[in-house]
Amino acid sequence: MTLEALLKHPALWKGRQQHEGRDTLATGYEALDAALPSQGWPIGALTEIMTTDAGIGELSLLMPALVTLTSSQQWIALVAPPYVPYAPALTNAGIALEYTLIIDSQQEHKNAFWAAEQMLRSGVFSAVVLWSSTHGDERRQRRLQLAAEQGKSWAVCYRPARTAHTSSPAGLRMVLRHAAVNATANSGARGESRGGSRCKNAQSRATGESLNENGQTPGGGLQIDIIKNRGGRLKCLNLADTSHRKSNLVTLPRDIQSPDIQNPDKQKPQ
Amino acid sequence: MKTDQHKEQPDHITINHESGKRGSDPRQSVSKSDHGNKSNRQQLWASLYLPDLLLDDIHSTLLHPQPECTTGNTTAQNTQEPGISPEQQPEQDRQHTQSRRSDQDTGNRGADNAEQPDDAPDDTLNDDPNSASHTIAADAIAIVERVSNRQQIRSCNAHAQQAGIFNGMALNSAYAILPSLNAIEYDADREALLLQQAGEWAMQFSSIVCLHGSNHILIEIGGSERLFDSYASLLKTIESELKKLGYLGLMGIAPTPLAANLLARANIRRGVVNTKRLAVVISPLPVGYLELAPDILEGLSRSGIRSIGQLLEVSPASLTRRFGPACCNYLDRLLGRHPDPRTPLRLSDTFTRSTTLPIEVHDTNALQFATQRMINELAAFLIACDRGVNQYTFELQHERHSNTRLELRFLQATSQAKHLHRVLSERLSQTQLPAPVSGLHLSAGTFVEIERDASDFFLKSRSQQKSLGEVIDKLTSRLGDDAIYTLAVVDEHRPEKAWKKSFPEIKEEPADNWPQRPLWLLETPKPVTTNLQFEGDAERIETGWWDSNDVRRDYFVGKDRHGTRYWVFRDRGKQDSLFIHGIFA
Repeated sequence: MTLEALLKHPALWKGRQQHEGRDTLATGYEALDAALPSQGWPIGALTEIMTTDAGIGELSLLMPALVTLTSSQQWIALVAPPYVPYAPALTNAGIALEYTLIIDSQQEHKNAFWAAEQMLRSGVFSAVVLWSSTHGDERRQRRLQLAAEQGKSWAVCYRPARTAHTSSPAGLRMVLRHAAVNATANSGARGESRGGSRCKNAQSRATGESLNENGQTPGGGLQIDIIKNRGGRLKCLNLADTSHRKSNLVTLPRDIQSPDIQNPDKQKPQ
Repeated sequence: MKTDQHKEQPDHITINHESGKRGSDPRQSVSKSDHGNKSNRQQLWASLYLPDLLLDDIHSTLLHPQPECTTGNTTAQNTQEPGISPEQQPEQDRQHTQSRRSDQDTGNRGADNAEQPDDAPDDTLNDDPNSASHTIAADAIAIVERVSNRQQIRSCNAHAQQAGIFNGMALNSAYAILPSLNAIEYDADREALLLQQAGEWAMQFSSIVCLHGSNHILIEIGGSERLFDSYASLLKTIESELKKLGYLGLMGIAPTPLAANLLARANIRRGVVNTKRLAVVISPLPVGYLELAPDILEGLSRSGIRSIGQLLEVSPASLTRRFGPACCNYLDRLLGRHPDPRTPLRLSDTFTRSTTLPIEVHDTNALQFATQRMINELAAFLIACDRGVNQYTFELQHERHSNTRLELRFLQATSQAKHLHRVLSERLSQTQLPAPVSGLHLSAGTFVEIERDASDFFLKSRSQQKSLGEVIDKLTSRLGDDAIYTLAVVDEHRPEKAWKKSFPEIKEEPADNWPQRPLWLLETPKPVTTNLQFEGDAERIETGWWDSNDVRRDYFVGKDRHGTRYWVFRDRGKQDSLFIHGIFA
């Protein structure tokens, strides 16, 4: 068998070219595009995004891609979002609401997985974003990955940061954290080797930059640890602001301490 | 049995000629040469002879703990009748009904299964004859009628026959043989209704369907050949659909309605296309198959006329002298020498089907077979009227409880049995039965135009839209109507009222630009518990006195020490309370 013939064998993994021509979706962030193989979110694969807290820009990260999809009249679905996806903010971001389907099944999480799988498999939805509040197991993630492959759509699954340690069949996994947060607080992201040492440098640089930029408040950006990147390299990068905000600082008359943020029913506004 | 419908619509052939379903018939040239055929387009009738509508109906609503089990009846039909087509070789003449049932028995035992047709690929039922014996279908069922003060068996199923029960037997004797016999009163109205419903079902194959007597459905297939590629495939479709419907029927094909009926009753499975050949084919048949009055038949047998061939040799003048004009008239119409116009069946405006279950059912799984049948009928009805449904109502009737009513909605009108049934069974599997089910009722009232698939190959969005409806229907049937929605912006300054749920089909007003808003909104604002660093100017949102939800709030963007950014507000007038209303995710 000649080398030529051998190289053509479909089972042969070729580092350089394997992702040539793979469908991707531009993320809208140059730095992130550069870090991902074929310059964008992988279509036909599962992207896992692990966050410690809500509200560090994890949804804004997807916005440019989702805007691209909906504005070209392709359907996207948000499955079991933890809060109300706020329509005015979505329109501000440029999302066409009439192509955004919300599946509200927080009560029964099993149904959310089922719904996400059905939608991915149908191929009707170009992107399906699932919030997985439970730990989720590898088998479920594998089913999502397979469904995404079958339906050739972009599957995104938000998971708690502690799941970064576990293995997953997802094509792309990343841990998000606020750039200002000390790395030790989120050591969960270190689960998968190689990224670790690089991250430290990248992060300290990032923190330094954002301090210079902003002056007053540290950590203007979002730090992304790519802990699995099929066909690409592990990387740790810092995105500048994912949202547009003003930097005027307002001080309230006093700091207010009230009990238990976890339980909304204890105190309600009038 | 004679119809008195020939007065009406003498010109129906011309009307049908112009209807869109019909194309020019390649066989037309052949038929032109036929003597006696005055029409310039040949009609070809397929007659479905359904001798035991009531019995088959009961059989097919029988409940199957395992959906793969079928009734003995359906199985029998499968083994008995391979695809009829005009090309097929003649079969042995059989006495109908009684002998037909015993044929099935031999078929069941697998004695002569050489003719077993290939199962249609879309047929979900597993027609294994052995599996049937474990179900309720194993029970003996008989239809009983009252004949001059005596209750006797009108017809009975194979199980009853195996026990030794035959048609015409007194009910008491039957009970003596088989105490467990299920005797069901003959109901002529019900039978007529079933025939009518079966006729509506048949209208998916042709726009001209006529009912004849109490057991015949006449389908004019001459014009449908083109639509279904060939007669063979059309007849195959009719057979497989009839099987799905659960009816056991015999089919005959002939250029005249009466001849088609005759061939069906005689179970001559070779279709006759040519009027000339007709006389040859029917000649050997006994005169008993003819739909003539009993006294005429008796007179014929007294005259020594046994076969139809003998009857045809007698001169019309002497027949008329002997038996009156009815006999000659019948023969003329039978052989196509006189026109035999008929009133085509019309579809009713609404679709309703009711079934009473023979026993109460505790498990929705056991309803699958009965529901499938109703859905098949609905789908056939929709194809016949060329419409789709957006919604239909399915009611589970309970003996001692108010009915369970299921409203099934579809994003897009559909007429596909598969889709209609999938949504129903998904919904049924989610339904908790408050009481055992004793009956089913399906109704659909409003029919709408189906959006056709765009013929443009490159236009993806249309086909995408189509399957979007299917996906959404599937999700809705499991998660409930409320769980699936799209969003819309409402022009309202109070943040919690500035959005609403919408539905994929509803077109909303395009949204304006809003001031900075968080991507997540908390349905119930949470009190702030941590130290927040505030940034930006406060945004004041006020009033709403008109609907007694007055708000007086100042909104800020605050960031906690982890970097999470919140949209918080302070109620003016209550300086102490600070609430998180949104998260900038």
